Amino acid sequence: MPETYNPQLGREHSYPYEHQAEERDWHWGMIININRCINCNTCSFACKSTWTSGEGEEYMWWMNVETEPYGGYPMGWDMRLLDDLGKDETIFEAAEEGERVKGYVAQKEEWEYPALGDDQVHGEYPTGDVVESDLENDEYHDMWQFYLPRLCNHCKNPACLAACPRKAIYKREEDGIVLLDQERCRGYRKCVKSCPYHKPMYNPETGVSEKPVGCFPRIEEGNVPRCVSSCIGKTRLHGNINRGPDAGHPGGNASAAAGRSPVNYLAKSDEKIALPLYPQFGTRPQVFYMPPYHVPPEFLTQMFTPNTDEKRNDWPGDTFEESIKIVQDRVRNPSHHTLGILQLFGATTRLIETYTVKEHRVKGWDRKGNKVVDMPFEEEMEVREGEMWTNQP
Amino acid sequence: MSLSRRDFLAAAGTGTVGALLGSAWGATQSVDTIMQVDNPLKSYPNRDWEEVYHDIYSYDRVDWTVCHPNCTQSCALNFYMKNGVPIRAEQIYHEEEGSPGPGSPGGYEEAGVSRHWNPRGCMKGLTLHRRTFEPSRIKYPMVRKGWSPDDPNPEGRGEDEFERVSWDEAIDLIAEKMASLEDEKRFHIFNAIKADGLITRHGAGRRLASVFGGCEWTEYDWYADLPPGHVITTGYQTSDADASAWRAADYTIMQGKNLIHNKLADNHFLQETRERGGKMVGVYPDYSPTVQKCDRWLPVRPGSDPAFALGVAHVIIDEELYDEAFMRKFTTLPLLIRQDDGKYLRAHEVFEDHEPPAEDSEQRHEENDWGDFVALDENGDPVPVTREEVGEETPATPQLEVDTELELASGESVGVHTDFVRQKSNILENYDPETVEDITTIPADALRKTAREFADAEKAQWFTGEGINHWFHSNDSLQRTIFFVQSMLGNIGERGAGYYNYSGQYKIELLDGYPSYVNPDGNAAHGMYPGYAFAFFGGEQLDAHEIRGDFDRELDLVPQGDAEEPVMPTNAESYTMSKPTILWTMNCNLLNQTKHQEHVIENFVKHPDTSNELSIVSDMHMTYSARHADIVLPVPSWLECEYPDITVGPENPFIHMDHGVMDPLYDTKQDGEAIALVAEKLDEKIPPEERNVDSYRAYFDKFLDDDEDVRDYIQQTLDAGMTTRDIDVEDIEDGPERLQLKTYPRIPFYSQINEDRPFYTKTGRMEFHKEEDRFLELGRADLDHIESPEGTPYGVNKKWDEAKDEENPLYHDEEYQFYYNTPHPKYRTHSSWGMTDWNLIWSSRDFGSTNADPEGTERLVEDFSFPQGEGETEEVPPLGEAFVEMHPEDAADIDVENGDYVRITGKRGDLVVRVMVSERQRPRSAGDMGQLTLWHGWWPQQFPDDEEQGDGVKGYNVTTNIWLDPAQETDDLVHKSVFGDPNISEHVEDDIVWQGAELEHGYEETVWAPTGTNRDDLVEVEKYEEADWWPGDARKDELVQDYIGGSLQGGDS
Repeated sequence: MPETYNPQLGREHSYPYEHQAEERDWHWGMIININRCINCNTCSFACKSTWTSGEGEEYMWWMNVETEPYGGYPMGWDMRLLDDLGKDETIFEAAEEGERVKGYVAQKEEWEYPALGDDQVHGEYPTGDVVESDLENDEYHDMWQFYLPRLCNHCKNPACLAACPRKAIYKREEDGIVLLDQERCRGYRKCVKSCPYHKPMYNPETGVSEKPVGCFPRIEEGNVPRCVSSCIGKTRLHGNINRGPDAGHPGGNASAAAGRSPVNYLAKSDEKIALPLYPQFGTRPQVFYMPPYHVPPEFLTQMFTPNTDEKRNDWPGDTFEESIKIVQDRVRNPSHHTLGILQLFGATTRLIETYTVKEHRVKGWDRKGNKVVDMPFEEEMEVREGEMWTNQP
Repeated sequence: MSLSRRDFLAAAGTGTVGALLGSAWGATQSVDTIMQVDNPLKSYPNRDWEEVYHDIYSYDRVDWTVCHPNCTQSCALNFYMKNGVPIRAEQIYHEEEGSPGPGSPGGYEEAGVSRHWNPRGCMKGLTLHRRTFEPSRIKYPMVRKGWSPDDPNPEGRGEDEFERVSWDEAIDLIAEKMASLEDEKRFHIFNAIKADGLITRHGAGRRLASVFGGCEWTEYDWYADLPPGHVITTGYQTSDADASAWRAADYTIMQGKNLIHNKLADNHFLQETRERGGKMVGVYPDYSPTVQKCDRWLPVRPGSDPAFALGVAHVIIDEELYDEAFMRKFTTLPLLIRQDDGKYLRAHEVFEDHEPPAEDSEQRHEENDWGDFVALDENGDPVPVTREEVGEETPATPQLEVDTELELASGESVGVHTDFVRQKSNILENYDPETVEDITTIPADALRKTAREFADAEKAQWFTGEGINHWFHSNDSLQRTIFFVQSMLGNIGERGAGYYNYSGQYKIELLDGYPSYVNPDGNAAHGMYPGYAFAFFGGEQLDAHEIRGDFDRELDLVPQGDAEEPVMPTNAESYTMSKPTILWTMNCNLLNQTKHQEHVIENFVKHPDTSNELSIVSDMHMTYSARHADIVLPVPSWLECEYPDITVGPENPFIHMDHGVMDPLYDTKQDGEAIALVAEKLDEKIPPEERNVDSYRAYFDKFLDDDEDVRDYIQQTLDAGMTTRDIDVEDIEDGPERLQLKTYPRIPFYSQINEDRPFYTKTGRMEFHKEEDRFLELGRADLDHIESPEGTPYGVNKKWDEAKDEENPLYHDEEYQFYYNTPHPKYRTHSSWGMTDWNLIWSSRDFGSTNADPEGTERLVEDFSFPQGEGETEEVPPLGEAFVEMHPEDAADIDVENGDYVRITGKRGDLVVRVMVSERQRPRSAGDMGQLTLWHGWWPQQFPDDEEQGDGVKGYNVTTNIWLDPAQETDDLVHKSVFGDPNISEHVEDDIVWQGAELEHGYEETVWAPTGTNRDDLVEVEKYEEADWWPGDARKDELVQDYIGGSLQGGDS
């Protein structure tokens, strides 16, 4: 089996298919700021009403928000797989004889309660005490919960693709979206079993599996996916995760900013502030989370880092727990530049390819180089002159 | 077009993978095996199939409307139409080709704000179409079989079947009954939500009540949304800012408000304070979901909230952290109070030549002259202070700390002190952080730290909400004390600072031209004070001293009068009472949401002596209230309505106008049209000389005449208000617009602080001491913590000094040791969306099952709502069930596991419900009351029957109560009326409907009325039954501790 270098892990591991010689110019990617998430599930309803409201799809929530640590759709999906994997072992390396990927098929009842544990908290009631977080003094909430929006990661090492015996799952050349060919699938459910994030789902009415489509009909038109545009918490930014600092002007339009995309900055720059979900699985997921800063770092280290003793990748800090703490602090106290990018979240439904943050203003351009956002960090206060005006009419 | 639910399911699913592949299954089989795939990570040979998803995504056209339930937010949404059916919704800023006006290109940017306001519209808006097609819709007008105009037979309500009638018949029955009334005041319109549906929906009902001479009610006062402490302090209904102002705060205290779940659309502004350096502290008895966003959570004993704010005030006073200049300029704190009678000293008492106000208090109110006030200047000499001399115009530099004898003009000498001395001495004596820890369980050092940080912040804001208002004393003394703290710190009148409440859809004020529509030609409905419905119309001989919260004090109240014409308390002449003969409820699930539900059903609804004779309910769904009606009228959903209507809200600056996007599914009529038809009938049935106006029909002719346009009503309303005078109907047809106010964002009291305009009180200042007789009689003239009338382990209704050594027998002897919390749900708005499939699954949390048969829900609706003779349908599990959250310790005490059933019993009723064990609830072991949380708005049929002692009434409100507070029954309280700013009412032009408005006093609907403080009760809980099925529970997994500790996969634990 070919080896592939996984930068999230900082090492090589096996993957059944050769990668392209060069990275795509454009790859689907997303940032989610967990600290802004209010668990309204508007994203989930937006997704479901667009893609899975048909027969056999009743149980399918391609997009769901679960409350950590007790929620889970399907129930307990992550702890079960974590327990099955050895330390520093990807799902590809852990595959059993005759299989390409380590995984399991969640049973019907494990899918049954999408809102399981919704809004529930972990910890003991602080009788006679308070619950407090103070990052400077290494204090975190000892009673905690947080909301984890979950969706297909359009991985660079997709497990579903690796596992499909019919090669009916593929990665699109132009945008990296991973699709499951609905005409070719025969419902063997290897993708359902192998995806560690449990996003391919089997439709018992049609006999074929389905998986999230990254809202490709919208991406093709230069618009962000529905879970992003519908997010009233302004938790999300979507765009070209592969657009790095050396990239030119979008659409060759010199009036548009060149260089990084805003999502690339948040996930890949020296000021990295967003981390992948369970990178240790080895699939190189392309949704990156700004972690909750009140939550104990031990849990987040398990969830958002390779969680190995040795830190091999280029993340900040000497250990992964340190990486988490540094990123938590960056989220709590964002730099001026990051704060500027945060204003782009939910500002437009157009895909923002490049941007600038100058003083207290942020601008964004789409793939064609059209300016699609131009806004201040804060609105000016307006006061009407004249005695007849009042705020208590 | 007529579409059935089946058609919708087919249409909404058309083009889905399921439907397409289902039909194309054979075809795909036959083309198999031809395609060879090499490396699917690099390329894929044939991608034509992707068209499947393009088809699913495609639509015929886009239209837009507004989702505006009683969440108060109002969000414009695009609806994507296919084959005439809305298949999905999307927030209006979507820039896709084909998106109409408001979506192109900037969404709310088009309304004159920045893109920071995008996107608006939550998961409920995104299922409006599913709600429109769900099975509980009322499909045609119906009359209860047991009802007849002459023999209303109310005992059959809720049980009798209905029969279909035509609209003509229904309208005729209503008009006939109205025409037969001897006293028009017996015609009552009840509607929830004051600030939407204003013209062509239930607002038309209010207009009819006005011209007919009837009464109108609102749920706003009754359901304890009203925050009276705001009115007591500032004379203003509720102070609140546009949500975009929240973001500017450096410090936020969030007390008893789960803002992250009940203000969804604009919540991000609050979350964003933290990215800009803002700190957030939560004060809740439970780990409210909002706590996860807080830097610090102070767990508080339920109902002890006022003591927390008094403790904060203590630290600020004790450590002299206050802003004296602000206090002098804008508050009563420097004004002198007579120690003998507790009245503010008047200038004419001190200065011989000073003109006294009228002797008679009613005359004072009429003249808007309550005398001038007195302070001592820096030399200790008295100076008169008029109502207008506020802010920079405050005379001299009055002293804050005065406690002295003063010689009056009469030669008499009287002890006086300033309001500040009065509050300060009481607070320093009684509310040091250690005492407050005893009262609240909040550690004293954490309180000190919070108070110091709060005082140190440049701009600090404080939120409370319904959770607080529903406690008897919190809605008064907590609110007054928060204003006290904020005024000591100068945190009023600027962006990012203030005290907000945001409960209820009360901000009809912002549409200030509205009286021109609802009160035409000087006709106004009587504002009916609903709290009295309990005391009088209930029929039950209520103990005045208990139910009214009149704790054995000598008050001249006469609560048990004639049920037809009850006697009002003295000095409450402004409170209208009138027993309804006809009660027409629109836009409100009155009987589901009402507290003390058994009492209401038994007496107000079903009792032959005390109920009304005709109950009409207009609704989209067969709710509990509709089920108990005599005449049921179906209304269209927002997607189906024929006439547009307008709405405004308290935390955004927009005016929205909705309009339908599809043809109605059923034989529905919008309220305005039904009202117009009744009005037309009234003209036929009532001779001109007996009418209250020349013609009832004439007030609704734009609904009835083909050449008229109801949008003219809207335009007339817009033209009559300052906030809308430059807005045309055509503008808001194209998308939301921004209201015209003094500032954007709207900052309450901006002009008071920055332009020296008076507050809406007698003194023109924020008043902390109150001099009105009622407050003095009750011993509640100043800021204090008083224990609850029921919800406490300590002495009830007493200040801490006395209460701490006493035991509430209900708690100690009868062991009612839980309080019963019914917060706003997230996936419903109150009871709306209660039967919408996806919302129901998510609302039910652990008990919401995607595998359940959707028919289970349909049958639940049918059995209850549309019974057909004897045949009960077979029981099928529904998509979701109601549940109560309970701490695992307390559940274990009664041998209850997650999913088991319990019976919750209060003094006023009981219910059976499943338990969800929940670590976020307050356990009894925290020292006092355990918390039970039952998200509000469940429908009764979502609860199981109590097989052992069923009494026919079930639901989440059977154990709740309404307490009436005599402090809130006084004509003497001065306030601004809903519409119009008296400070500038001479400066606006004649065509503004509130030109010349003056200060008001006494009862005013949604401003000053007793508010049912209905959380304030205790319950006990016992095991009812073990469950026969349990949902999954990740907590039972043996891996969960390792998972939470981060030690799976060999990680560090």
